[in-house]
Amino acid sequence: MSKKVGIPQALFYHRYSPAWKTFFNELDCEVVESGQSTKEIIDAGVKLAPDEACLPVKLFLGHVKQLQNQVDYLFIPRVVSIENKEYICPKFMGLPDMVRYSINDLPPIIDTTIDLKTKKSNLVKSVLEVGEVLDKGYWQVSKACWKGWRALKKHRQRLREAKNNDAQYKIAILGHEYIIYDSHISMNLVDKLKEMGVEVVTPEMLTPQAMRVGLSNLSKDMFWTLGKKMMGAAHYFFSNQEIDGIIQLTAFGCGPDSLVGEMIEREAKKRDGQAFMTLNLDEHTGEAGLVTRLEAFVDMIQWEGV
Amino acid sequence: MKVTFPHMGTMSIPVKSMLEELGLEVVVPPPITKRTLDLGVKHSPEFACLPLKMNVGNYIEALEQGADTILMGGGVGPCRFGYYGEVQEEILEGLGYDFEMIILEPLQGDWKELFRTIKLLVGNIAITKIRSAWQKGWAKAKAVDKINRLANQTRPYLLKRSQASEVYEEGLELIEQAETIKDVETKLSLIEEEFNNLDRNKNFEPLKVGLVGEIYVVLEPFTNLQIEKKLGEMGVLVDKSIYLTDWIEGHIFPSFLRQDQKGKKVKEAAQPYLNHFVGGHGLESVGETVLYSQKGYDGVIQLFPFTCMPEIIAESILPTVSRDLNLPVLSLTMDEHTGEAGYVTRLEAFIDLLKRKRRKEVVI
Repeated sequence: MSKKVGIPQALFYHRYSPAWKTFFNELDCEVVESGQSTKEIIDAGVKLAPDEACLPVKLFLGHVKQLQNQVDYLFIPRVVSIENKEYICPKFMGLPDMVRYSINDLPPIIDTTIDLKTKKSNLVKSVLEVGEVLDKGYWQVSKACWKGWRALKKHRQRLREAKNNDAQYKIAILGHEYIIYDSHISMNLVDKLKEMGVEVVTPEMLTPQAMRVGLSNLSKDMFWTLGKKMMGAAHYFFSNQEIDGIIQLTAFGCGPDSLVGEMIEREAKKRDGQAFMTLNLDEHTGEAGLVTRLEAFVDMIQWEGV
Repeated sequence: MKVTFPHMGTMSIPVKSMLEELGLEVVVPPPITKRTLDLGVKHSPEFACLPLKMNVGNYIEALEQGADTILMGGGVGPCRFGYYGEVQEEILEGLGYDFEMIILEPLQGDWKELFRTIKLLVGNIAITKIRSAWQKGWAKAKAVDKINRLANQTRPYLLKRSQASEVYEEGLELIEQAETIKDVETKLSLIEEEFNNLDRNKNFEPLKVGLVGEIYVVLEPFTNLQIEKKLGEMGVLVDKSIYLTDWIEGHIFPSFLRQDQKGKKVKEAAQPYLNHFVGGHGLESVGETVLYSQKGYDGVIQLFPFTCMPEIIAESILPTVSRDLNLPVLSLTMDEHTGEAGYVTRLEAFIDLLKRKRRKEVVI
């Protein structure tokens, strides 16, 4: 019988799920996902997490709880760094521990450390560690890793190509993938905008070249990979005349967002020609209020006639 | 050029003396008051952590007094502190202040960068001069930490506990005024003697409480609402797990100059619970808690600013540590809204709990 590996559908799931799913499937494991976020999942997470934790972490705990009794293993890697000299955020570094000490009676956690801070080849070590836990051989694991990487690349390519050129206006959305692509937390923001006849651009749709152009405007090299990406994307959007407006999504209690978001907002205020709005999302955000703000934002762009 | 820098506990005493020794004109920000906090909160991002806000308040008050250069520490993550300087510069520029910000980035094997920063600050200067300035600053830093420890160790035993703070304040002033390293030493023994001469309660066995958490909140009495004094005057022996000089020794000195291997010990102690660095003092908070239990402390209080990322990880682990080791742990989050009355009530309740626990253990 194949082993069941559970992957909570939160945080880096939204960035790496094609790779993870392919990888575990190649290792003859059945991947069990916790599904889309729901009110119950958020409520469970809020109960489990310390009060001060950020919304994405609370959500993650809720997803883990959902999987608790369905799987043989939980895949919660300790993601320290995915880029040279950069970190994700302290909470990603302590995530397996936070989970372990917040929820009782969990199945074994695959908490491999992924630290590519000094060299990218460390990934091989991490991958083999996972293979060891699942008792799989070197070749099978290497092949699975390669296939996973291919799947991820294809997925990213698809994201970049997904464009709707009929729309009249173009709005860029800044924010973590685990906020934008979590339809419950973001309350289907992307679809809602599309329904209003707006084309949506997210940082994931930018080419590496575009990102580099954006990043060249930074004064200090930033040590948070996600924050850096957000800053780079923001600067690229600022200098791109096609973008009519920018919506920044931040999560309640997110540490890096509190500084990065502030820097982006200040930069936006110095410019005109693009509308800018920050939405801070938390577990209490009401859908009606959000829709009103989105409608107002799109109306504003239309009136301005930009 | 008039240089200023943010406050953090008693840090201004050694830093001021060091910068003056380098021939700089220094404007120490006025002592932190409610106004400092309000200014900082008003102009900082809402969800930034408290130290960033306090820093901004310090800068504004110092700039009002004529400072034109700000000296600030940098960092390489993952804690938000490493990006403070950039954000603060942006905030102050937005407010229309005219100043220069010099951010001291930590050494990453790149001495040239450090010298460039120093040069920017003081121009061409002899290395010996830098050395002597450092030595004097270091002596004062050691001295203020020492009298802080003494005050904490003496306070609960005194017949009149408020005397400890009086001697301590007086001591800080003496050390600040000291002209030479020798002078610092004589003043230090003077203060020690004064502490020893205070009237003590005989046969008194105080409760022992360790303080762990984020460095700024632990070291700055304004933000922790003078927790050492409050606990001490309730008759509790308080020990801080972090002191400025320990921190500098552990993080900035090259390893062969470190006097003790405390860092390693802390890591080992934390290992069963947290096996990886999580930025800031998260790992230390867990490790020190385990060490306090081994040293026979009655309880531990974790202090950190609201939304502090590393400490939130520690906070989620500490309840398990507490259960395993049968050691009460109280986590206190500090921000601009922390009310003193509610805070004191929680401290008193915690101390009551410790007292009962001890009495019960004695009976058994």
